[in-house]
Amino acid sequence: MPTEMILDPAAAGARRFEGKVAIIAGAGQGIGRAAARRLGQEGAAVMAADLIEASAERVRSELAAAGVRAASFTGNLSNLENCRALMVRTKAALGRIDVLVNVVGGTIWTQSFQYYTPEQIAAEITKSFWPPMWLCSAVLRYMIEQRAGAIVNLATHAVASRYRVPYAAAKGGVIALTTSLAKEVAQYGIRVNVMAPHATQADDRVTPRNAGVGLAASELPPDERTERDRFFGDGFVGQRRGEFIDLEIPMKRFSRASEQAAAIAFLASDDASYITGQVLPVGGGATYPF
Amino acid sequence: MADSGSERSRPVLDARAAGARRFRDKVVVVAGAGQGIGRASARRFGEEGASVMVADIVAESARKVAAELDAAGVRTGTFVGDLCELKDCQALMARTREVFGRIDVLAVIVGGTIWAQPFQYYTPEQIEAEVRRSLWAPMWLCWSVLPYMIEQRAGAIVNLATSAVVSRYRVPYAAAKGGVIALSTSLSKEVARYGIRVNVVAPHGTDSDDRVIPRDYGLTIAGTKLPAEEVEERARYFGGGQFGGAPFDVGDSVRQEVPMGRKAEAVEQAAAIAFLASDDASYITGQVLPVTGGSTFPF
Repeated sequence: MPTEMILDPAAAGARRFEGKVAIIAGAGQGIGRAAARRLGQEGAAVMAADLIEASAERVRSELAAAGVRAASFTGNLSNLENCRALMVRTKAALGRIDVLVNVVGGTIWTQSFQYYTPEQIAAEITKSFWPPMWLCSAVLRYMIEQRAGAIVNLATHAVASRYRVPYAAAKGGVIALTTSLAKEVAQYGIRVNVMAPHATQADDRVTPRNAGVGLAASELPPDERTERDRFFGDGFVGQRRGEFIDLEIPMKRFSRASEQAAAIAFLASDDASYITGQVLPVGGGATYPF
Repeated sequence: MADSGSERSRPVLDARAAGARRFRDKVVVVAGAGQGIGRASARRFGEEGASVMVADIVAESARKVAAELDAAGVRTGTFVGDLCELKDCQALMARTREVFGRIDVLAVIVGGTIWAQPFQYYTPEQIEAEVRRSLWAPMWLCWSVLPYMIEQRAGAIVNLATSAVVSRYRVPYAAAKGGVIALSTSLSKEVARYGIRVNVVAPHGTDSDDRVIPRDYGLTIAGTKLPAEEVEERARYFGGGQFGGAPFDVGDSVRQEVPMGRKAEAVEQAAAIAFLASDDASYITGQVLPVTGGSTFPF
């Protein structure tokens, strides 16, 4: 790899994924894109999968420009058929599947639970619970056949926070999916772990949280809106600092997506060869309940 | 790669690093570096470019590990002392600062159960010896390093816990390590403001092919005479090795507790220690990372 094309300097020269094939599900922006860059930096061939074609293609082309073998896949990964198609496509394009990183997901709305409509709740579960479930289900036969593989799912510190109950519940489910699946597949040499991020700055967000959802936001009473906005500040890259940073995070700052990617890369690599069924909180020191 | 040709031709201390140099220009103290996980950590840190202070209670062990690192072109120092004693911990930090100019990372490996038997067979003297080794060493080491790291406004500490906290035959050791977990989690919240991170690696049974120092090194306390059936049961539990189980048997501890069905290699623990000590974990503090082959860890 030419030294002028560094995708992630934090790798510090490591090539832990040389000869490996990694799927990043939800690679188009934020933590997913950072993970694709880190694994590519360390020698992986990368399948960049995203709901948004332009996002998947952008990441594929920036990896390719740095000399990484890369392919892209576009599809809604809340649907099992698309998850299966992703695996078939990866096997065909890159020959095997060593690593699956499930970044797809993320809360669509933020508000107290009573303001969520049933349709909104269903949409949150569709977006954050079903992709890891279907992706894990779809990848297993390949990894069992190989007698090797590493899966990294994403959880969230929202499980111990506010204003995102349906999302939190979905991610609680992802944690249990991971911990119980880990015990079943250890015998095949497959590891399954969770990385649980807290507040992460995604300067590169271009796809809105409600992309493809087609539901209206709730009308919130002014005091509820004020309180929520005080809690979050004006967005994760805005000027006004959210209260939750001081309330929940001893480091008192947001994380960079590359810091989350570093933890994902660790769990996906052979450095974690004796680690499975675990939750690694990357939360600036916040206490994590699992 | 930016590495020079001479660096590339040096002996490889840990192939798992896969070329990474995350500790280039960093100074790392490995407390309990003489064998096992400590030695593997020293080798991993050295492989990744750190200057390493090799500290151990046994002079010959410290010298041997330092020599291995030296041969691979790593800047090393050695310190010999009893790290259950505060004054030795303070001397270690002063010495490191004098030799290398700073202290970026402290890896606290010193500790480990001395005996293994049901709680009722421990004598009060044995219990105190276990707590002295496995609680006081991390306590004094963390306390001794803090002034340096606070002054630098940077630092990373990795302490070791153990899956023994949910296992058997090592209650005093388990209690000491429970204390180490709480030391780490509460200290991390205090020192986050100074840019210092404190985390824990919690290993399950780890093979140490290089163990030469007995668990009761330096102690004058006798072991307990156990009834024959206790000895048998314990041997079944721990399998082959120092507690007299069948050779090559992983033991009930692995069969019952470890989904991967095998013990860890020391380098696997070292990889996790290096991760938490590195900038790859720059947003991680106050956490316990179980390196346990899939067994459930309660914290």
